[in-house]
Amino acid sequence: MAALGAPLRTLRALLREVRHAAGRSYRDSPAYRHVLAAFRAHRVTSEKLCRAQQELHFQAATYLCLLRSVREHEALHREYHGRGERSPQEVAGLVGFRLPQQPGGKG
Amino acid sequence: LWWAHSPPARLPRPPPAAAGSCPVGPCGRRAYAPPAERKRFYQNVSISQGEGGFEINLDHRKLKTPQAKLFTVPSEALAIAVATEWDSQKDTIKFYTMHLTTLCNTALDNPTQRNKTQLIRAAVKFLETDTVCYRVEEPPALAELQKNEWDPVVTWAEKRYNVTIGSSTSILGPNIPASTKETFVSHLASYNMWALQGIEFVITQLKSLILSMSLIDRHITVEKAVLLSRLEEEYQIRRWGNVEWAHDYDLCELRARTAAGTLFVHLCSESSTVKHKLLQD
Repeated sequence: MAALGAPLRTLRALLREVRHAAGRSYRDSPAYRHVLAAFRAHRVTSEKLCRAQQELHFQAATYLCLLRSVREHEALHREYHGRGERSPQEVAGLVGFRLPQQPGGKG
Repeated sequence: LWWAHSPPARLPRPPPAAAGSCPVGPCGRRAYAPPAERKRFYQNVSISQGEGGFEINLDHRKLKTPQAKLFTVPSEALAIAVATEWDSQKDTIKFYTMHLTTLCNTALDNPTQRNKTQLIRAAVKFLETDTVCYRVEEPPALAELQKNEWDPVVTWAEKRYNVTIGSSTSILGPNIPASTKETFVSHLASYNMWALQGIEFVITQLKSLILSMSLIDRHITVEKAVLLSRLEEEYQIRRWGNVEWAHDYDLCELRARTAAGTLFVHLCSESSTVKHKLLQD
């Protein structure tokens, strides 16, 4: 079985990610309610090693990884890869030049 | 829906072929700008249940696949996750972040038109060039790291599936016996078509059948599987330094895709029932 840590920790992190994804009315979002319902349903069990509980925990950890890495990937993309090429004016401005207005390099 | 329309983005104006200085356009437009993304055109995302399964509604419109089929998924949890993907798009729709939607579309449309046998064959073929079976001889630190990190996974797979796999330092790779391949073929045949699309996707991302199976059997987490898949890169990063805009970017993308694939497989191959135990007095 994968080393997952405490289910409560996974649940809290997952709910935080769902909040980020859902926006303002996150508490009514289907994802938030589904996650909470699933965790509550699997809480009551008399067995020590409940296979369904472990499966749910693994699924929750996987979904958490998905939401978190999508958010981080988007942030990295926005910061480093989202801006396209610089215009000729910007490139000239990088070294302190200005583009000429008239052909032949005058003005 | 949106896919059924004509291609959305205007292609960027190609850079001028004339030699010499680049002429500035009338509005000072850049030579290359990223293509305009489709704006978010819906307010609410909701789920409904139809005959074939669960459907996604964007406002009042039903979501469709790229080939204009109705978007139906067998599992409610999967539908909720897809709806969350659509709901989490702010101003513009970024399709490259919607991995579960893409996987569902692939499963529904089957654009490569492969049947179950072909999918399984493609998946098992990866075993011949499996990442964790390809070892280096130098640098010795990397060889040691590969031995310590990859050997346990290979041993686990050999024990779990009762097969022989081994590893190799030669350029030809390990010699996988036919019985091993047959075992994996028959094991994969027990998954349905949707789950197989997901499995094949995870294998293609991680470049390893063994890591994918250990992930799907819940033996390791997604983060660990991605780490093992990128072991040599991590070694080089630790040696030479990390470049955020390349290494972290690739890492996050690989994690996202692998997590999406794994979740997709599990949600497509499970059937959950709630058994209520009688309370003891």
